[in-house]
Amino acid sequence: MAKFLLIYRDEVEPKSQPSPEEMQGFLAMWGEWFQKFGGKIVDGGDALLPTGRVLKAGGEVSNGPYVEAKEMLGGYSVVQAEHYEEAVVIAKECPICKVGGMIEIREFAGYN
Amino acid sequence: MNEPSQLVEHFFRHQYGRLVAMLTRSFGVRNLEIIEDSAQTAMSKALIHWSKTGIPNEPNAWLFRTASNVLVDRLRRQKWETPVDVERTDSIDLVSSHHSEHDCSDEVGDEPLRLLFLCCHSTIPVESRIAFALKTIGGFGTSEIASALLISNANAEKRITRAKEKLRELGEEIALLDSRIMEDRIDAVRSTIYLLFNEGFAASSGRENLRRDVCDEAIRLARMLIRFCKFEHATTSALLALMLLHSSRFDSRVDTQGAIVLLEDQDRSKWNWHAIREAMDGMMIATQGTALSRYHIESAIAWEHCRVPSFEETNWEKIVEYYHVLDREFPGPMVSLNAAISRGYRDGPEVGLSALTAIDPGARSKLRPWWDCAMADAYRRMGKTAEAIAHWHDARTLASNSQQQELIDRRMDASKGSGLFDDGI
Repeated sequence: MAKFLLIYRDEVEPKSQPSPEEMQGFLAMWGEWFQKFGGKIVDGGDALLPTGRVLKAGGEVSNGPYVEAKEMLGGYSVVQAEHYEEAVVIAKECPICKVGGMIEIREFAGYN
Repeated sequence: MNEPSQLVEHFFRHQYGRLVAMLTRSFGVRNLEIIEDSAQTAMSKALIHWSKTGIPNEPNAWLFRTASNVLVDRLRRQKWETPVDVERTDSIDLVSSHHSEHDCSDEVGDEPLRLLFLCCHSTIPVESRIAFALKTIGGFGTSEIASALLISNANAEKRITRAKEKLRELGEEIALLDSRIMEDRIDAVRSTIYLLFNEGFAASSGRENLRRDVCDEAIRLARMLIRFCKFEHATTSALLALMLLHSSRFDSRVDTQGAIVLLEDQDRSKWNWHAIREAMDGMMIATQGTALSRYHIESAIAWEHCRVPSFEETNWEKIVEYYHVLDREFPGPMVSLNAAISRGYRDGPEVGLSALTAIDPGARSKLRPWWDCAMADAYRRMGKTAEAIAHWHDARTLASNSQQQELIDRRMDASKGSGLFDDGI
């Protein structure tokens, strides 16, 4: 079993704040996802606030999260799977995909 | 992992309104913006946390605790900017511990209602009250409000902001709202609730489920009003009964294609008889005492329609009588129109037609295209097809949305059909 990091990327400027009703919908979706893949999810992870600092090699610090193109890092989870294909199957059903977000899937090297 | 327990329908939406109202009571209307933000944040936190751990036993207590913590934290960070809040922070722990025992249980307090009383101040425009009530008390999202009320997002936002700015300007506080102010404003509160209901009920395009939610929100507010306002129960019960009677027809007033179905064509077995039963209870309470409001009379009319098994059996005698009282006590253009139509059903289309033409042009202009439809229908019943069609045409030109147009088209086709037959062509 290998471990995979699911990296969630959202749009930098989301269309609007989700309404309470939409949030309840997301909650139900996350619940279903955890229910379905509970054994495979090592760490449910967390969401990240849209604030941040970027520290460059020279010691220069700038404000704001590091933004690539139109997406920025919004959260993560850790799952275990036999191979990338299985990790993709898990990620495909993650609510992030259903609300228009993007997921990057990376295998852990297992150094520790 | 445990079976995740399910939240009741609209839990977040209703909790949002409750959180905002409770926090506003403790921290003041001037902090409304940051309060709403904290309520939103608490829900985002719940989203992450609950999806992993399952829903806690007392989800509302969890949300309230989290939202208060977020709010207190933000106010502390802000205190160098707004010195007023420094004093406030001293009482914060007191506030949150005071609430946690008491108000975090399933028992819903009257705070949301008090917030509604605040926003029903005479200087706040009615359309702003409605948008504000839906957003801040009802927990609807701005885009949901826009699509339920058929306005743009920007317009919805503008109406909400208008109410908030006005509230800040007025400087009234939930905690200071006394019974005198409440008695002064209860009429405005009721009519705001009724208008809110009508916004949702008017069958126009837009998302059907959202429109129903708007109606349900109005009913929820009326129930709260009955529960917490110890005066004028009879009139508020009449309002609740009236909305319940209307809402019982919610599903049958549009067909599966989304087209409007007229009262006379509705399948009465599909009406919601639970709602009608509850409305009957409300009408019982409404008749205790001497109060006579427009809601009393309107619910009596709605009840006359509900109690007969078919349109043909409608007791027009009674309905004309009720409209007569309504017209005398609470006149308005819509009342005149309905009074004329019901006379047409009681005394024949000729009488109806002259009653319709007697409506003064000023009032008439507010009634289009409904006045034109009524005219057309009177002519149709008299067998004057050409006149009927001319009025259907006017109505169609004035229709405000495609559903109205479609309804008018169908009526026009029907009258053409019967008209041709009558003329023997």
